[in-house]
Order: sequence, then structure tokens, then C-alpha cells
Amino acid sequence: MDNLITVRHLVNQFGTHRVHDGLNLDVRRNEILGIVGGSGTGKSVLLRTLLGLNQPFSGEIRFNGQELSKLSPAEWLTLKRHWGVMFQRGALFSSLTVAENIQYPLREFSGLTERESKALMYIRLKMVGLDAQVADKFPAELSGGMTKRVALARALALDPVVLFLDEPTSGLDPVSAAEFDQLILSLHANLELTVVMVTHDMDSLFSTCERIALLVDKKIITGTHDELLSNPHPGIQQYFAGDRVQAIIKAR
Amino acid sequence: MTQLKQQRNGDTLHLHLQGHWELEQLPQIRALLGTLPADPTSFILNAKTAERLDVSAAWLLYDHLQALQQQGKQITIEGLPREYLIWFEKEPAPELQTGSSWLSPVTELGRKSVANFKQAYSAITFFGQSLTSLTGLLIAPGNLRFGAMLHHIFATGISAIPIISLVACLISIVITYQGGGQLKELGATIYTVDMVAISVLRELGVLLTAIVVAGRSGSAFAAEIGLMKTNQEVDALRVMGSNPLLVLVLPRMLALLIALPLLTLIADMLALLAAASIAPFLLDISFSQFFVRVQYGVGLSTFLAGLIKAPFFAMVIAWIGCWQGMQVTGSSESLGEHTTRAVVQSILLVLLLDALFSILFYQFGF
Repeated sequence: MDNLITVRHLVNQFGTHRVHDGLNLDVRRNEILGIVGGSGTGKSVLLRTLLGLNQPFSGEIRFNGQELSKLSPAEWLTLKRHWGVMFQRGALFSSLTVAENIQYPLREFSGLTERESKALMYIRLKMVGLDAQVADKFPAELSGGMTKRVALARALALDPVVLFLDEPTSGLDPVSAAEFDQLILSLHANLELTVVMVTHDMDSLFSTCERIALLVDKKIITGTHDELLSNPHPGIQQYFAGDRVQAIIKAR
Repeated sequence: MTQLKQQRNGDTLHLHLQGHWELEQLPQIRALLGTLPADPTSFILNAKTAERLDVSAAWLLYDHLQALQQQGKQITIEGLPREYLIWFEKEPAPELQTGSSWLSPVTELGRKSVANFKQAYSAITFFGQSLTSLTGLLIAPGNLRFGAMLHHIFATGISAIPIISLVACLISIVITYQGGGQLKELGATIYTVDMVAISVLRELGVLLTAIVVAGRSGSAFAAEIGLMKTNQEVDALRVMGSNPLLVLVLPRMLALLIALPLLTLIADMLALLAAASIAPFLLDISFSQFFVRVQYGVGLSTFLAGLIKAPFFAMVIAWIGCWQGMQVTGSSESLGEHTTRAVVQSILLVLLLDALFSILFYQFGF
């Protein structure tokens, strides 16, 4: 299967503290990959590095075969339009309404007319399961779950090839979290999306992700659930040994 | 490559999508849709043949065909995912009720007045609550956050000394130059000293200090408290049983009450020093002569008339800054708006208060 993103020998270092040391990762086309790991193992740093928000110490990242560090600014810009990113706390522009938030990328980066971009904005709202009435609200007036959905709608605005989600279900109640998982699964199925998500939520991890990338010892070990669970590596066993994880595994 | 294969079959046109149909190819998509002939009575779109068809491109096609349907053509769409069609289904978009009748200027005026009245009410309430808490401190001085107060004295007072000194020196040099030049022609050079001393001590020293502090610290108060408000830190304080007034507002208010008179003192001294330093070159008045004249011509009351205003100005700046901070809601825009308002309103109120003092002092012959 061909890889959409390949990371090779990635090293991230802050001062003398090494977060990633020779990390390798493959993200396959059309898969849902979950990045997990204990607190402080560098999940967010990895995501930020993939997005180009953090300059790696060394190593290479290829997106669709192009190496990121060798791209010209114009190529970067084209590449970024193929990404949708949903930040942990939504990162909605607080001075714009929901409608303006979703229309922002459409207005900036496409030649759509006002009528078309508005219609597409309503379609995005529908895709993430929100009412059209939400469009006129400001981010401060939204509940946590709605904020996440609007953030997802904005991330989907430019029809991305790959969707990066940073803890999509954190701060949601179990019902909303399950709904959100379903939403991501259905979008994945319909839009041929590649999804990369950083998550802490074991339910979400086991129900949505096809493969899991676990950060241990400054490196990544990838595999399906069963592969990881049967891996004797002490770091992996320790990560999945907690009571809560065991309860979920048993329930499956 | 984005391609649209057209297959004419009598009055029916078969359209086969080929290649990538994505939002990125918007110009090509528009161009291809523009090539559709107008005469067929029936269009059949086959979306299955596309390599990739994203939601936006699909909608553009759908929208175009819908427009053709409106013209009475027959439309069939095949191979589009069912979800897409559900998403595209037109819903009556909620239209905003904009009641733009001839009455709207009047209602707008009314709404604005009520809003302003509410603002004034809230500001006065806040001031009253602050004063009550301040009196409470007199009874229980242990409640004062002494460390926080010292921090704010440093932030609003000590770190403002350079800028205040510079402003005071420059303004007094300007007055000495402007006034000295005029009085020289009248042969009343020595009165330049009186003029500089009186204007600086009575008005300019304290007023300029207050304006600079309003710009520096008033905005800082509003921004600090405003950000804490958006972060729910203020709520956290309330929930834990702390009074935000006591923890956030009073240390700032007291710090400014201490810092502003001291800053005024520094401004007064430096302004006189600066004027005295240039007097020998400009007015032929020696450095020591200048101060003898100040002592002789300007009484202590002049100095006090300026200094006595400082605590009142401090009160106004701290009050407006903290109150505007407390008004911040949610968005970053609101934070900016209230910070701006804190500066503008506190400068305005300082000037108003100064005018009031002038009238008062005049009436009492002070």
C-alpha cells in the first residue's frame, strides 16, 4: 500500500532534552492512524512537526513523496491546502462567526463566489451534523461539542486529502465522543480521507483507528490493535496494562 | 487532469467525469461547465468515472445542473454518493431579520442610549463596590494582598520613571522656550520662571503623568483582568470564595494611589530641573537664581494644588482600567475593544476631573 506521509530518522530536541530520537513513521493513504503515548512522550510535538509548525532537529518528512524541508514557500502553500487540521481546543477565530470561520479558507484560497462559498459553508455544517442556525453564532456561544464540530467543518472546508486531529474527543461526554467517532468514520468512508489523530481516548482509538502508532522510547511502534497487544515490548505492555485500557479491551 | 466527456445521443447529453474533480481545479471546472451546449433537453451525469471527486466539485456540478433544471431541462445524476445528495439538499437558509424600516434610526438611538446608561450604571456600581471593599480593608487590613500590591507599585510606578522623566523634561523645555521667547520681548524674562513653575506644578506635571500612566497601566489593568476573565480565572477565584475585587482590583488601585503621587513628584522635580538647566543659555538666569525665583514667586500651595489631584487621577485610572477588564467577554476582539476603552475613558475622565479641580480651586482661591 502506498504511503502518504513518511517520516524517517526524525530527531526533535529542546535544549538537551531529546523528545524524538530517530523516529520512523508511515501514514498510508486512506487509513485512520491513531498516535498515542503517555503524557510528555511528544505526541503534540510530532503532530506540530508534521504540520511544519516545529522545525525538526534532523530527519526528513515526505508528503506524497515531496520532502517538506526542500519545498519552496509556494509549494508549501499548495501542500497546506491539502491538509485539514483540527486543533485540540478548536482554535476558532473568536472575532468571527461560525459562518465566517468556515468560509475563511474558502474565501482566502479558492476563487468561489460569495454565493457558492456560502452554500458550501452550509454543506460543511450539514456534513458535521450541525444546524444551519449555528452559522450566525460566535465561537464563545458554542458548547464544547459544537466547537469541535465547527472546527472539523473548518478543517474540511477545502476538501483536504488528509485530516489531522489533535485529541478530537477530549473534553466531550461519552455520548458526544462516540458520535464524533462515528462522524469521523463516515467522513472517512465518504471522502476517501486519510486521518491522523492524536488521542488519549481508548474507546475512540479502538473503534476508529485502523492502525495505532505508539510513542515509546522516543520512537514509534506501529501496528494494528492486535499486533500491538501481542508485542512483548515492555513499553507497549506498560501502556496497555492500565485497568481502564484492559476494561475496554475485554469489552471488545 | 480534469476532463468532461460529452456524448450526444439525440436530445440527451451524457456527461462522464474523468480525472480529478477537486476544488483546486475550480477554473477548469468552470471552463468545462461553460462548454456545455444549451440545446439538449436532457442531461445525464455519470460521476462514477471520476478518479477523485470532492464535495465542493460535486456541489458545483450539482448546482450547475440544478440551474439547468430550473430552465426546464431533465436532469439525472448517477454515481454520486448518497450522502452527498443529502448534504446538498437545499434547506431554507435562515434569513436574518433586518428590520430596516423608517423607525430604525430611532430604535437604534434608543438602544444605544439604554446600552450607555447600563454601562454607566455598571461602572458606578463597580466603583461603589471597590470603595466598599476598600473601607473593608480599613477594618481588616490583613486582607490586603501586600505582595501583589508591591508588584503593581513596581510595574506601574518604578518602571514608569524613565518615560515620565523624559516627558516632564521635554514639556518643560518646550514651555521655557515658547514662553521665554515671548516674555523676552516684553522685557519680563524673569517671569518665565513663574510661568514654567506654576504651569508645571499646578497642571502639567500631574496631568501628563496621569495621561502616561493611563496609557501604560490603565491598558495593562484592563488586558490582565480581561484575559483572566476569558480564561475563567475570575470565576475560579469566585468559586473558591475569594472576592475578585479584593484579589485583583484593590492591589492595583492601592498601588496606583501610591505610585501616581510619587511619579508626579518626580515629574515636577525633573521638569523644574530641566527648565533651570536651560535657563542660563536662553534667559540669562543662572541655575541657582532660577530656584530662588521659584521659592520667592511660587508658594507651597501651588505645588500642593498639583499634587493633591494625583490620588484622584490614580483612582479614576485604576477604576476604569479594572472595570473595563471585568467587562471583557470571550473573544479576542472584546479584549482589544475594552483595553482601548479603558485608555480613552480614563484619559477623558482625568481631563474632566482636572477641569473640575480648576474651577474648584478658582472658587476657593487656592
